[in-house]
Amino acid sequence: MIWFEIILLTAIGAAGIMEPIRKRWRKELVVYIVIFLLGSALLILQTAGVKMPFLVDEISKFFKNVLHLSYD
Amino acid sequence: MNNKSWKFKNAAVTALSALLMLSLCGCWSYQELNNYSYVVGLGIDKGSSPGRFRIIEQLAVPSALKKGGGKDGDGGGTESFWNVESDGDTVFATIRDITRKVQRKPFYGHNKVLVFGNEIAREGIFPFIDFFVRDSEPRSTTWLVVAKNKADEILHHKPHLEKIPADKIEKILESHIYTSSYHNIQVREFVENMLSEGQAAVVPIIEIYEQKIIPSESKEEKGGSSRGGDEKKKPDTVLMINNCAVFKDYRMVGQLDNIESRSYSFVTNNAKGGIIVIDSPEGKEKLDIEFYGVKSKIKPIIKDEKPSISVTVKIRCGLADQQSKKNYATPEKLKKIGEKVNAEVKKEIMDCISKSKEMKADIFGFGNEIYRKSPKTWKKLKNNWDEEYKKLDVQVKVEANVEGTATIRSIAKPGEDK
Amino acid sequence: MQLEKGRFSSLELLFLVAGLMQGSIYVSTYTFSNTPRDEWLALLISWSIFLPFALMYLKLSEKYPGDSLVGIHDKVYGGLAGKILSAVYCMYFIISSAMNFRFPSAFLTINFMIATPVIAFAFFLVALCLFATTAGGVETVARLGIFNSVAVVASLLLYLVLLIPKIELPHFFPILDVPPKKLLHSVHIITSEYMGELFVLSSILPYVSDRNLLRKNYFRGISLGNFSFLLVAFLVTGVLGNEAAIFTGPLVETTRLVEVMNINARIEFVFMGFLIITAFYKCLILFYVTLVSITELLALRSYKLFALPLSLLIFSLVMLTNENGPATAAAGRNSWAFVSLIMLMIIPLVTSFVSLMKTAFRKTGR
Repeated sequence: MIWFEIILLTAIGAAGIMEPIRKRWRKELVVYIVIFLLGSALLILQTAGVKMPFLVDEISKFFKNVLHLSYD
Repeated sequence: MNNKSWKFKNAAVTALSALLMLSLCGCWSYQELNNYSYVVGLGIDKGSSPGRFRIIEQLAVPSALKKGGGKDGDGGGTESFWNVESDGDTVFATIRDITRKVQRKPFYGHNKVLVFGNEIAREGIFPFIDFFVRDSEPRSTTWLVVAKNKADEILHHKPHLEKIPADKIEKILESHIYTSSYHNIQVREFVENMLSEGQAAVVPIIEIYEQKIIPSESKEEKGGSSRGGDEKKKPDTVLMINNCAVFKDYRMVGQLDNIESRSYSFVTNNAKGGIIVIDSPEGKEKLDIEFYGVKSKIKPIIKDEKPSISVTVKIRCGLADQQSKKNYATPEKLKKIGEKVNAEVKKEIMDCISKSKEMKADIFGFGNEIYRKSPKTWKKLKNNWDEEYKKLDVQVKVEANVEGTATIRSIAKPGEDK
Repeated sequence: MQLEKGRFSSLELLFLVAGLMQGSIYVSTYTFSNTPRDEWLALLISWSIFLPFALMYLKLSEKYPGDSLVGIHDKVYGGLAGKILSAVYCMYFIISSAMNFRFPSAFLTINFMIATPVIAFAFFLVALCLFATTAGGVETVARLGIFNSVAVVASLLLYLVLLIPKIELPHFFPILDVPPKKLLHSVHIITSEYMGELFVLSSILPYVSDRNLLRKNYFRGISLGNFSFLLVAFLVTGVLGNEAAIFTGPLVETTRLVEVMNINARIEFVFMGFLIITAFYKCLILFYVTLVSITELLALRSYKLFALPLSLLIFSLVMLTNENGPATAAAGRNSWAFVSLIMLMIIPLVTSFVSLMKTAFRKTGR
């Protein structure tokens, strides 16, 4: 399943990456690769069952426990 | 844009569109109609062992319904319904357990009635009602009834005119508009009443009524019917709504008889039609007064933080049947009849209120009315509302307007009708 | 810096504003649990509190025409501080988008299609938004608004007509008997989470063509959105009363009670259709704003290029949010209102203030 996902994501990424390569937009290429890799990594790690930190929960706990700004 | 990139983009867009089109056919997690069995009635009784209860699911048999089936017996074949039972500790688990007996997954979206056994009702139905509100499949517009004895007797009773007992129960409940002697209630309204502080709910009681049929002499002379045994007084049984149960905190705490239930309907604006039997103002004969329009108003009066309730009931009615030969079609006599109706209905309502006070069950929602008028006063009363309700002063005013005597004045000969 | 040539009229802005607000209608469950009877009151109070903020967003946009949120931050706070603040906003938009994509998907599966995985709906929502932004851009986003708003208002009016027999006016009484904390909670959620989201339109306002009618249509859109909210409040309270507090989807439950001629009309499937439409539209606007903000922040040449990786990122965050469903719901109910308050109301207020000060100092300096 994960291998299928990796292959699919690579294909999708490759499809989109053609334009900055062709136009020689270096900054755009780097940003594209970074965001794409970040998204892919998150997706693959979750499919693999790795427990990810949940930012919304962390922010919520910060507001509740540190700032004492919460309704519960 | 060069040709190659245009083609590539086109291909990507086409591929994405094709992928998205998968969502349009609506096939995801679909089920064919014949993969489901349709639950039309559900009953809950006490189980065979302590702590357990029994669920009876009444499933419609579509093929039999189409053919117009319905023979004696209750086990499939050409019968239009099939009752399946299971014992368990919790509702959802027991319901799921039934799928081990039924080859199709039961679908609860068409469930019409929920019947509670009398014993379960007295112990409390809170553990059983959560599923019917929480789950998205059963509807909260399901009718709620309490069986006089056991729910499975009710669901096993073969109807005469309908094909499915649940259909019959639904039709009986809808017929309340002809007598107003019971109040039909849906699960949603019941839960709403239970969630309101101090409020009690009224649920109709359904029973199997035996009506004895004596065969005619001609049949006896011919040698009797094809049935064996004691045909002379073989009872014919019918399902009947008789009396109503009063629920407080999800537990049945008492009953209202038919007249009291009608009074309840009067006060709570649920009476749509029915007959009030009164004594004739000029004799001992009975008169049937048909009412066809009832409007009531409950007005809380708070004086020096002491609440009282004023109930006004306006009835539109007419003389529908009389045993007397007198002609009542004069304004003076109609006025007298109106006064009789006022007195009779007022007495019935006061009796009903007294009974509810004995049960400490605020079935009329007087507490809610006090809360709406003066939340401050209610906050002082709510913790001791049972006792406060017993002491609550309720003034009832009935205004009956007898509009006529239907199509005739009297069927007595001229001169006899004075 | 303007990333595209597309423009839309202020009339389309009206429906865009209304559509963004209406996107919260079908999932407005948090407030009914606090104020089942007084939701209308919470709405009116929120409206009156929010109006000055709406004006403030507009004035900020009018002061810097042609500049989106990132551009405004750059001009007000200067280079580094503006960029950091814009980066924080981009993070907020990404997280908010993920939560908004997840909520209707989970809602649909819980209430209608239990066997369908949440991810399926989320995938199609994300894919549709990707398609709409890359194929059309802001013009497509704005054009869909009229269809969305008309559909939502028509559906609400249909429910109103069908539910008139079930509405009981005593459910609205007594008025003003609500614990102040619960009323404050509801007002807070409505103001910061439902209405405050209009702040994201700062990135879209530069593309309005006829700016002379901008202010009028902007406030008309807010009024239409609020009218829709009030209609929902009236329906739910009138039909369910205090019972609205126990339901996770009060409006769904209300539509399930429709009985036409004593037959259950099963009209909640109509509701489901409109939920998908209106939720999609809100998600689309948030997706577009996120995309444009990131592109401007990093001074990139084209935003359409990044739609694909951003949609992948948001989809993976939706999966993560879905795994932590109860935590998300708890956050949304309790503490996220404070996050939204800071991001969508307090910081913009500070931005307006700083901008005013800068203008004043510039004038006195001269």
